[in-house]
Amino acid sequence: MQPCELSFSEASAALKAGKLSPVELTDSCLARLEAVQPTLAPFAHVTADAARRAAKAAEKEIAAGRWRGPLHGIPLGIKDIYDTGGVPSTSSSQVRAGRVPERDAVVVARLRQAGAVLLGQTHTHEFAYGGVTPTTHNPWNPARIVGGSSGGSAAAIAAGVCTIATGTDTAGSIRIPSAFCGTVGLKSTYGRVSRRGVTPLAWSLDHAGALTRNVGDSAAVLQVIAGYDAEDPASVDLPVPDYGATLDAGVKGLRIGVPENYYFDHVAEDVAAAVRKAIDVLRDAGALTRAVAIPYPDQILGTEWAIMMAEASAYHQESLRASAPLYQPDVRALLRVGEFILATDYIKALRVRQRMRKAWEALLADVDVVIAPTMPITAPAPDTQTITWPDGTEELIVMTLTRFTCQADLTGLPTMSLPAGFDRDGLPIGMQIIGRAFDEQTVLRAGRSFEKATDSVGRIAAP
Amino acid sequence: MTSSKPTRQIDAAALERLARVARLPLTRDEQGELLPLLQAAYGLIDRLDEVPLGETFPAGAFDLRPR
Repeated sequence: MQPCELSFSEASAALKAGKLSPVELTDSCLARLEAVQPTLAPFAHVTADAARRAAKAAEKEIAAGRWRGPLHGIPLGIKDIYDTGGVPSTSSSQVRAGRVPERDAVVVARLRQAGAVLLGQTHTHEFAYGGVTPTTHNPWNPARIVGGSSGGSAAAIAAGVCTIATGTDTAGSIRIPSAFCGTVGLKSTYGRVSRRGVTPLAWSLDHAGALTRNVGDSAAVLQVIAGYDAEDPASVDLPVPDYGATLDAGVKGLRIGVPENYYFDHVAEDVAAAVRKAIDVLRDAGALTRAVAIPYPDQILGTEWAIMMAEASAYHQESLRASAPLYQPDVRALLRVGEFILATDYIKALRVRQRMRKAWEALLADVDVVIAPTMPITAPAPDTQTITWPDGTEELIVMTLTRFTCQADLTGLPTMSLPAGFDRDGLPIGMQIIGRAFDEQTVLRAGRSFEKATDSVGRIAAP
Repeated sequence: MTSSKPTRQIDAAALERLARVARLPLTRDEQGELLPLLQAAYGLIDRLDEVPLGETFPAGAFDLRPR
């Protein structure tokens, strides 16, 4: 086994004990990256020299007894939508070619402070506005998409380049690629992680977070990046709990809501079967299940799209007129259409959103979490335009990709995607665990219980 | 509750007028490319009319702290 294939907990423990050098680990990750970059292209920009310097510094500090914590000496990737000081940070767009910010985004600064080793910027769907990430290929089958928009981060983890990479989630952009690439992706509660220094897609929906190989990594990285930031208007000043403290507390007595509508409608057979089996695994571990009705199912997509399109087009309004040819055709089209969302439609969507939030609050008074498929399908081919369901319904792929994920962005609830299994073609299947506001601990605990009971989580695609 | 408002019908002429109001320069070909996407978006948004909103506040910015 190569050092880059170690799990986060194995690598972190070995680094702390001095049995593994951060330099050795970083070199191994960079070698794996060099091997997969030509075929999978997870990274937009690699900072190999800076990574080796940071690893050397971490090595010295740990050897001198100045261990900073579990992320000290751990190599990771930064989604190209985050500003990294001194490094090209372009949102994977020609519109921002050559842009080098002076300062780190808050999340990047916190990761650096924790001693993490930054390998470079991972590809995003341009400006995080899409679920494909066309630059990048799926490590489980390069003829399939990685999902998006945090597709480079997911591909890097699934290919064994690193165990952690940052992401953002506005309509599902952490969880979509997590599901398609077999990684863990946690979108924490709206307001839990600062977005300062992250290029916005839609301010009232944007969440910053991370994709990881295992659930324990997810808890460790959230511990570092969570916290109040007075400069992010959405940030909430609440103490950050110890996410590791309850991670292994099990699910005995945990009340799981199983959707009786929406999340099992128009779903691939293998996906539905794997998620129902995963729920059975948790029930066998002591959890209780009960059927729940998902509120406002016919309004979820309309609410999301009205808000996201209007906010994204407002942010890009000037740039779209000045640099239209530099945008990719799909993103340019979405930004143009967003110009035609009426203000009254936008406000109406915000009001429906309030109804949804209240309905989910009531739903989560009776259960501790809701578990559902993350995606209706496994990773499709890049040229897929529509999905035709067995009843003859034809669905635009852009709707298929966001149908199950966007409600958690509308409600702001913490939601984690993790691999529930694999389909008949060997592609990962994602399931999502949705929890109460600021109760990431319960979401992580449920995910950890499933991880321990199965072998679905933490797999690396064969290089 | 079913809305009494009809679903929006957007054709090329309507899109051309919308683009002019938005001060968004578009060629005839570009308008043609956008039309299906705009129709799909309005189709989804029109479903919001089915929700009786009464005195509901908009959730523009919100604080999810437990109360």
